[in-house]
Amino acid sequence: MGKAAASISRREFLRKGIAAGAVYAMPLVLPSSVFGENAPSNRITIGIIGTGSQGILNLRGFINKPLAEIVAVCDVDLSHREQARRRAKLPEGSSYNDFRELLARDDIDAVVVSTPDHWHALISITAAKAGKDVYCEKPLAYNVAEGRALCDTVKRYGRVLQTGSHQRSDKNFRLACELVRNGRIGKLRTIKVEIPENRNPNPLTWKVESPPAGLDYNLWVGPAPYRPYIEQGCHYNWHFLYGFGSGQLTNWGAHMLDIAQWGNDADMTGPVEVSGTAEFPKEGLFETPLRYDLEYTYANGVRLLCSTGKPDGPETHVRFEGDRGWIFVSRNRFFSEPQSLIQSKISPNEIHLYRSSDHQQNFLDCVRQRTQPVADAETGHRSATVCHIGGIAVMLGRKLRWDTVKECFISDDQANRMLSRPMRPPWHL
Amino acid sequence: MSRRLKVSAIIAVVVCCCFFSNWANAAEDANAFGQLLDKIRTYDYGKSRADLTRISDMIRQSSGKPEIKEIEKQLDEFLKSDATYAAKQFVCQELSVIGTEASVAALAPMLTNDKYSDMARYALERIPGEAAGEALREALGAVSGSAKIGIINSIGVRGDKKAVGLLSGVISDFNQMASISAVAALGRIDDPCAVEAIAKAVGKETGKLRTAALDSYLRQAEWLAAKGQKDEAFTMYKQLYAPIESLPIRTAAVRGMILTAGDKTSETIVEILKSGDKPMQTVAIATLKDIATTDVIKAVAEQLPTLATEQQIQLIAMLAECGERAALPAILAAAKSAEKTVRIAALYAIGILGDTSTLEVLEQAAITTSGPEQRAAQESLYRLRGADVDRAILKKLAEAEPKARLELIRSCDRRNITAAAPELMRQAKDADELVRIESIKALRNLAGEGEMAGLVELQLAASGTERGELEKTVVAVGRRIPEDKNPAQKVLAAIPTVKDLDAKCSLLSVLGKIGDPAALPVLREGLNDKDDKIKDAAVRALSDWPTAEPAEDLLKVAKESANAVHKAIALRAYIRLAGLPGSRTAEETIKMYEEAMILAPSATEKRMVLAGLANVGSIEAMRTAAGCLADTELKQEAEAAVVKIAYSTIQKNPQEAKELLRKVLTGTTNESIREQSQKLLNQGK
Repeated sequence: MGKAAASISRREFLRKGIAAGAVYAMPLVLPSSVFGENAPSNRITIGIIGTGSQGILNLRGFINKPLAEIVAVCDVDLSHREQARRRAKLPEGSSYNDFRELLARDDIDAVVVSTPDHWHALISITAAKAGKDVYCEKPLAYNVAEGRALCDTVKRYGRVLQTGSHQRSDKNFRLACELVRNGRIGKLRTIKVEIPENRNPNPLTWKVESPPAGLDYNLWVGPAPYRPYIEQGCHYNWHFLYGFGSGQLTNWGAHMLDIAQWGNDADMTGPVEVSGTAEFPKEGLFETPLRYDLEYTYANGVRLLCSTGKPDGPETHVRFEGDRGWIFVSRNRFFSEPQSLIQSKISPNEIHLYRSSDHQQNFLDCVRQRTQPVADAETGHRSATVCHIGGIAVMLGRKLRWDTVKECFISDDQANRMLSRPMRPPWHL
Repeated sequence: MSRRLKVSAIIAVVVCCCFFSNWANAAEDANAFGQLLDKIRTYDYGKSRADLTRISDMIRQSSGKPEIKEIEKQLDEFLKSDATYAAKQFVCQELSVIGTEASVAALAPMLTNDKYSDMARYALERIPGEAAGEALREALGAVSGSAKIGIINSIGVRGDKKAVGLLSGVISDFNQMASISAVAALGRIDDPCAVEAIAKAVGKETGKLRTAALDSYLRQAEWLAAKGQKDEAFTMYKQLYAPIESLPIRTAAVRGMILTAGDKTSETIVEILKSGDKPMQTVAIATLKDIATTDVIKAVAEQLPTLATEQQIQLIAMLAECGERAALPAILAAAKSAEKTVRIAALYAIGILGDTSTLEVLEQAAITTSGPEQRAAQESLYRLRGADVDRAILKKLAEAEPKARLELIRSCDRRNITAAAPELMRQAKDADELVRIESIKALRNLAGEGEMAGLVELQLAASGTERGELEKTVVAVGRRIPEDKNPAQKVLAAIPTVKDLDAKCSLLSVLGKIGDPAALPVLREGLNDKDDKIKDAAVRALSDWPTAEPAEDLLKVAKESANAVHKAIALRAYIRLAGLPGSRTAEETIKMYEEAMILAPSATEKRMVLAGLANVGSIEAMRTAAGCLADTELKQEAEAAVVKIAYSTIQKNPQEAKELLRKVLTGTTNESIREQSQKLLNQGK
């Protein structure tokens, strides 16, 4: 099924990754001033695709960067794109309904993709083919096959892609992973990840309506199986309908499981086994689980436990447990046992992880320098894969074994069918 | 009957019972499943999904069991019924996971029906085996428009070699979308005839169709390379490197050429670097990390001075990333470039590729340059790897001139060279003030218990800024010493010997920040000292205490001191300490906050109390915070506190928590508070 080539090049990639790692495994990202960041001719022109809540956050992140210049916005919802256009102080005619029109512009260097998940890969792939660099929200793709196709395309066309897993540019998350990788907690045994419950309540009643004026609903649905417009199932709540998202496991899991992968030195691989349970809604509009309880096992024996947090429990976090201590890290807190552990310094001869203190700036610097950003396509794809295979395990209700090189389940045809999804025409990868 | 026969007879009866029981159960399950399916015949998108969920659950539970065949059969039959579109779409999605060749007969006729084609294709694309492939191929000639495009796409996903001829024919279809899909599908099929068809389209077509063909051509080249046919792949890439092609295609072509050049890799990449074509040079540089052998790196590094500034910088960074030391001579030469930005890039790269032999270059650059260039040299001094680098830095430190010593001291600090502590203690007494200050700062990170007495001695002897820096260092070192080793011992030992008041106050100050319980009696004594300076130092020291131990002492000062400044300092510290974790119950913590609220002289302190209360997850704390809702000066903080506490109390005390939240909801003008309150009130509805 057209996978042989990708598998072989991936193996080569892994081999080279290991060989390079023996000396120095990450890019030297130079300060943008080395390239003359303030000259207008040096600016990276950007188009924002998807200008809902996350798109606006990303727009705000890029708008004040001296190296960036937002020149166009795109959204299938007129009110969203016009709000974004005004916020970016762009003239009329700089906003688009169809991303293909924006991508056809030769004067755009890079795009920021902040659409619902089911569009991530398709738009990013089209952008890469058009010679644009891409900042794509997490999870990198809606499923494993789309993620792999995106990685292959980015590589084929020599593009720079940053996944929006911005915790990779957070000092505490990086230090936590560096400490774990340098054996400060002894041998890593278990990683416990907690993700939050759904933010919005599951609607118990809903109705099919005509899409509101200004929303190109057919394009919004895009490659997903068609279903008529339901207001409560559209903006934001799409996260909880399988056609468009996969619930909190890919929403928050893509952040927290990404850190688990980083701390476990598994960016180029992933778990080899996954099992778990989930509480699926029995009633209501939502389809994705309300709660998860997943257990992954890595080839190095590390267990990764991912569960939905309790309302009175600690916030969404990652906890690394070793045989000599543990480290707890969240967006608000960072502590360890022994306490002094998080104060310890990493010496030059120890393992240093990719240092980025600003996710968007890192993307721009890498575009300028043509090098790999902190959350590149392969990293983003592998982290999203951890979420996806967990989702498949709970949907099928059985333990699954995962081949990290071939990226398929071992001896489970049904599970393998769920790695991709047929697309509604005319869309294809 | 013999005992053995009896046992055999019993086993036979049990086995039969089990068999019939399982058979009966399976029949019952099939019946229940059928009834459920019947119920969803009229399902539509606006209706409850409960029965769909039950069906999915039953399918999941039957997975891998014999009854799944019966379920599949019933699902196939369902597709022939008059069920709604939405219900059939749901069934096709289930069949896409559990369906087998047996389902093809039910799905195939739907492919040619415009209304149902897409849902049938959804299932067939995922069902393995020749039957599904044949159904898709057969339907291709009988459909048009969207259905045709969908089927082409599915054939591509399945990589169906038998469909190459059919797809090649579609390339010239009058429907361009179908042609584009066909050429894309061919790109996913591992077959020489597919390559031929694509190549033909590349040569003949224009516009979007040609763009799609080029992408497929690149995919096929990748495929050939992966199978070991690198020469063929190289030829295909070279064809696309032509200047008439678009930049994205040429970019992919250059990457492909370099990756498939085999023993001509160096030659190929050097040729591109010599071409003067900057965009292609950039691509070649970026590709280097995928083929970084020593020979290639050497050949490429030789080209460094011939490139334009921007490409030189890119190449320097890439050579560093590749980590091959063969590039070091070229990088060292670039560090002497006339172009400043090239020098900066080279200095950063030396930090990665260098060793002790490059220490001198970096040290000199750090001393003789300024701004970004100096920062680059300093960063590299901090980053340089190798077992001997630390030792070499220490050796230099003992002998260098003051300006160089400053850089080397900073390097000791940033590199975390703890072995440097004795030498830094010596430097901390140097005649040069800048050297002394820099050493004191470095000792903050590097000194240990062994240096504590010497540091206290220096603290007492110093004055002004230097003493301030020493205080910070003594505190930092003291905090690192474990409590069972009396971290403040050396400071406490010095106190009786000190006559100078300022020096004594300096010692009291560090005692407060270290937080060694052995120092508490000295500070408590200080509160009653007849000298105002000592008293002041003691109040401030206790206010800095890192644990809640001196809370009562501070409360007493806040209540009884005649000095208004001391009262304010002590009260604020008391509020801070109430928020620290400890063995107190929630009630005790609330009592602390309530006392602080009574003593608070202004809204500022009261707001601090409310911010602290917000972290106490009890209904009593919520009640206390709600008591401030009517106070216009405190309303905003009180609302935030009530809402924050509600998250952890609403399950245990739903009635009262909701009552207080409603109070917030009625009075608030803050949108976020309103939203959060409403969300909490909706919980459990």
